[in-house]
Amino acid sequence: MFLNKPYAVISAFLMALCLGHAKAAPEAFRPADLTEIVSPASPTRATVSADPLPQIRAMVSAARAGMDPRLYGRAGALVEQALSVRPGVPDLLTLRAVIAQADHRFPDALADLATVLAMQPGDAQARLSRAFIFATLGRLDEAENDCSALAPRVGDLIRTVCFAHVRGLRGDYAAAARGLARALSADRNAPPEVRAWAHSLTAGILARAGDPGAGHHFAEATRLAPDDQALALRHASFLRETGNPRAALRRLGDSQSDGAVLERAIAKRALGQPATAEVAVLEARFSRQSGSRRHLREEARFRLSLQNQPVEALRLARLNWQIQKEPEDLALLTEAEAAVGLGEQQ
Amino acid sequence: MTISRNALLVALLALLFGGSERAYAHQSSEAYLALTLSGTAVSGRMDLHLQDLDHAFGLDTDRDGQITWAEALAAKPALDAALADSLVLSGPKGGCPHSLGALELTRRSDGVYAVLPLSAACPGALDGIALHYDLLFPFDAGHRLRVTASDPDNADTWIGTLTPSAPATRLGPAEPLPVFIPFLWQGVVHMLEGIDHVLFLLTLLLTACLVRGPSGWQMALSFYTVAARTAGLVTAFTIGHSITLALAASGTVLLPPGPVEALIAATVAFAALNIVWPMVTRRVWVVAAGFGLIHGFGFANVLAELDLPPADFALALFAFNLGVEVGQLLCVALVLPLTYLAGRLALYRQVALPALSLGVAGVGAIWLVERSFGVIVLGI
Repeated sequence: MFLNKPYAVISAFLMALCLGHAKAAPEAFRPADLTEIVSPASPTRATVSADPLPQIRAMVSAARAGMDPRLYGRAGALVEQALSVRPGVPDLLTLRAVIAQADHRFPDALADLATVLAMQPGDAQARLSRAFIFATLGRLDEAENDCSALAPRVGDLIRTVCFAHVRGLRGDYAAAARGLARALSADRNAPPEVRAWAHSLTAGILARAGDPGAGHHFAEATRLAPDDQALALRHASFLRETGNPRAALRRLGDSQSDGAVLERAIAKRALGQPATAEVAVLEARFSRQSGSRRHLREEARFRLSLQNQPVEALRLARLNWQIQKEPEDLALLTEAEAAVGLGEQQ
Repeated sequence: MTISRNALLVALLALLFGGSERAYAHQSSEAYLALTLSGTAVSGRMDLHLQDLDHAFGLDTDRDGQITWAEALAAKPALDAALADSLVLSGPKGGCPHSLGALELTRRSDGVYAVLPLSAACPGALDGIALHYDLLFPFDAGHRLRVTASDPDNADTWIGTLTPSAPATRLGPAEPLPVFIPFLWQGVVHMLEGIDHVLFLLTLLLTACLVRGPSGWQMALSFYTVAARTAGLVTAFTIGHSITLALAASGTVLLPPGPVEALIAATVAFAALNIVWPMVTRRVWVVAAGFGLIHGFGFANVLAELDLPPADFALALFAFNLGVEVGQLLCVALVLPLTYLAGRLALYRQVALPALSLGVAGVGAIWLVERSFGVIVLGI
């Protein structure tokens, strides 16, 4: 009941590892020269403004594009500050939900969005946001309800993207991709960001279906949103999975997010290279925050595909599955189960 | 198609919100505090990310996008002043004012950190340290302070994490009281609320003052005999359930709750029937111990539902067990005098005792059926 779980032993072991890690603080030094540049400055500066909304939006946008949780954290502090002055402002609550979503605190995000939608049922931002969270949680009927409730003024492309995303998760790849292609060609005047989003989603759906046509849509999305690192990462995974790890490495550039470092390591292994530096970086990051909700999927993949630790990978994949239920999460769980030999017993 | 301003705004945000655009964790903001406790003194070091400090306090004064060593040093007094309020250490006898040494730097995987050596003096000897920290929480909702406190004398290290919603903690040896008293209480409560355990014990007590003679139950006149026999029975029962409670709680032996509950019902029925139709007349304590083994698994199922703290596992188990004994002794103290008095009456020995026994046996039998087949008859 308490000691019979191998997990207890493993987590005790990990805790011991963490302790060891915590004890060994890196060595301190003093630069010799006062003019020596010791660090780049922060891209943001905490300021007080009468209307923080634009600043918060910009910060969340940058956080997403750069996959930077630090920026999400700073935006989160600004949101809390603004909400303490003006409680219940729908736009602030929606932004708080977006930040919670990025941190995989889905129940918090859903609670805020429910508040917003109770006040403003026609709020398209909140509606769309909630549709995608429901989709991530595998609550596909509720996601589709929110897609249906999107106001017509958001445009056909966004509505189609919403429905196609859910349809793709249902495994109805052909219909989803067809709908997206039709909407993309019908709505050539949509803003480039939206077209990039639609192309990247189409690419993802085709990639899942094993359709090589995904490559074209990844290229289109990349042309429209060259700096989107999340897109770069998914494109790189596609390139590697379709047998081109070298192109995957090029596509990743020197991005340092957990996902990018992980993908770089897997691509290097595929090329027969040891990926020692990447593995060391990930080991340090994950063991510092082992089991952190935000990167369970990446941590599980790391344990499974790079470190040959299937038992720990399965534990993490199961935790991850309790939080998010996209096809990648299921694939991860199934692979981890097979790796520890559970697959054959079932 | 023309795009209204509204639609454009939505579109831009839609991009932001895309759920499939997964948030890959890069590095969230963390600070580190390593403390060493010895006697009344605390020494340690605090590491804060330079970019976090720049965001909060504006290190890059010339705004050229670079932080120089001179700019970092210039911010030190402001940082000291801020930390005087936003890092508070205290021991059992009160606050431990701290002072910060000369600024240094260190390199971690996600950038360069300011290193602040720290020393503090506490008003009394330390058995751990309480701390409160909120330096960067107002600037970053995802910020964390990772703390380690070590006591080199006892070779102990404790770790903790402070967050905006939990900005204070205490690191040190666990205080025994918060575990001991609640689990003792749970033991008492469960013993008294677990009507099957109480009924079993009562059944043992019904004949505690009697001996079986050639013509049925007779009063055992010596109080010594009564006390010794009751003590023997209760002790045997206790030893039995202590063994299985420990085995089950530690996960060494695990039984499914359903069959255990049914067996407990069977022990009640058997003990009651044994009064009317003697099956076991000698060495009743062996039966009490054996049945105790079964009841122990029942206690363990309750204990499993209370979150047993892994760190204080043994203490919590001991306290819970002790609580069960306290509950038992309460039962004995209440019932034994009654049966001692009643045992003198022929009416009790010849009428009330068999009637009570048959009643209890009936309840036990119904429980047995309920618990074996999942039906509800009595609902108690």
